Amino acid sequence: MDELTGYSIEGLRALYRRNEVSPREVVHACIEHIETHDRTIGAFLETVPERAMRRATELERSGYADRPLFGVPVAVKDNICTRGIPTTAASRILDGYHPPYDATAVARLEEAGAVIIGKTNLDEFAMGSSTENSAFRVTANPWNTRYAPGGSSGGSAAAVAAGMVPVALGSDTGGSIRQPAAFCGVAGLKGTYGRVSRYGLIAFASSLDQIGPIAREVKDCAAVMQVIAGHDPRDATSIAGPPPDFSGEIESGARGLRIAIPAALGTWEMDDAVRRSTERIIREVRTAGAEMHEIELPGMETSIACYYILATAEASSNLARYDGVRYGFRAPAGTLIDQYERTRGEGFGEEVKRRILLGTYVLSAGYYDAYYAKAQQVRAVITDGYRRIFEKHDLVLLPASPTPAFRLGERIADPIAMYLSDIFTTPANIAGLPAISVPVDCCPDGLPIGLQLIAGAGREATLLRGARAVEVIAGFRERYPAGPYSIS
Amino acid sequence: MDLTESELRHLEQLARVKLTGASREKLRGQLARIIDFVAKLQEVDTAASEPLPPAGDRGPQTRPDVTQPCLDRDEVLSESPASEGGMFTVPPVIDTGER
Repeated sequence: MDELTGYSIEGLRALYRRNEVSPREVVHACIEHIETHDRTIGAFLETVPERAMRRATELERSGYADRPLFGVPVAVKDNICTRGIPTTAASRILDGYHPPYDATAVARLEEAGAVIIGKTNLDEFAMGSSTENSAFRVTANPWNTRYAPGGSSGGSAAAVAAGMVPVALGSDTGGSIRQPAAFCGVAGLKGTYGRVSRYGLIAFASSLDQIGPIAREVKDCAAVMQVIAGHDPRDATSIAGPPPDFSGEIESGARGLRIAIPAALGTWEMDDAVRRSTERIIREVRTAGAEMHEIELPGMETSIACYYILATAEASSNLARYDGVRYGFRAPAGTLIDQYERTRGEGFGEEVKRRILLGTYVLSAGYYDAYYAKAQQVRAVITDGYRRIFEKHDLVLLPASPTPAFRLGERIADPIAMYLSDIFTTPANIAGLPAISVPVDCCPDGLPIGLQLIAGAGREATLLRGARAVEVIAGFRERYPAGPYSIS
Repeated sequence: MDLTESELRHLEQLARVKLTGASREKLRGQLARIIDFVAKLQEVDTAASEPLPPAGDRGPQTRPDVTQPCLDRDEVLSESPASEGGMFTVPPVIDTGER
């Protein structure tokens, strides 16, 4: 990794304070790094080098050096609207779309001094767990380019892992920040539902979607969250009042934390290396002074089915707007109905069509009660189960994914196998809880393993404290200082 | 379960998605398997479940009913595949007999 592209936000800020480098030099280094390596990785759908250099120049002249993300290069998942930069959600149906407005999270990043470098690849409309559902390109895992980066925020996770940017925005509907972060050996945070405004996030499943940061360090996740979080009148579900100080307890360590461990951990199907790493971290966190209690985790049997009913139902409604009239791709046809059906048939990829049709099925007359209404009841049971756990515990600890990264092409033909890679992450979305994935180890094949922590609603500060403690105990960055070997 | 040809056609019409070629048959099989997979939720006992609170921390929010700045018309129309005279254009919706 190039000298200037390996820094954390804190590291960059120190350099800027001492006037050792300028934002232009840092932005330039990132752009060069991307130009050299993104042909192999495929993290970006679009880069905006000229816009970024212009912006860096403006920052240098503005005297905004005190802003929290001054001169920090960021990448933005391409389902988050950026005014003047194409935003496609990796779908042919939005090819060439230029949003006339910025997402609130993007506006807040820029206001804080961050410099947008480009837009990252994803599974079309964030529907997938490997980024292979992109209509435009394949993204490779920087640790081994024959493997998938995870998804759907695979481009953001790969860009951060490959040192192209210190931080990136992702979005998480069923694990789409945490699973790719785990696969790429970086940290990924999803806040409490409503913590970050969804204004300008291209909607997939509105009751589950959250924007959040992916970074090489837990502290950087906290720093970016501090900027993008907060009430927004343009998102009716955004949490009222000022957000907490996310870094307030971040160095307080594991001592005294009450951590719940799933009692069934030993019986769940998972990769041996993931099991060994999880058990090792549990032992070491206990040694560091945390109280560990075995609990029965709600929803492990049901969350994937519940998720795929609720998420597809919401998607079938949200994606009704792509009709070829107002933006994007249009298939010419003689009648309006024909135009709708052909535009959507040709403009959407296979996985998106599968989910729209499933969502249509579970909402249709005669099936609504058996599927959608039932899934809402199961959601209430899971949510209540977690609420009870967090009456007595600060955190739940479990793997981020049952396996390390799988090979590109390995699961794409089997939708259910792909869905099951989200088995540990969907419950936090269903219950609206903040959760984070932290890299802890590599498996014998050299692919990273991530551990997940979940906290009670609104308790991101405790979540980040636990995550930082796990990060220090695991020592991933110290043990794998060279990072992904395809890059270094 | 089996997803019949007429059920699939009904779904395509409801969703306004036209499936074509070999991918249509493949999708029919996959959808049937996914529906079987999610149907296992019906075995869960939810008799004691309380209704979910509304999304967000305060339930549905309304804003004051006052005019706000809106997007620029020409900028919005410039994203459309076809527009004319300040409007989106679409194929005929009503058959007037004229062509």
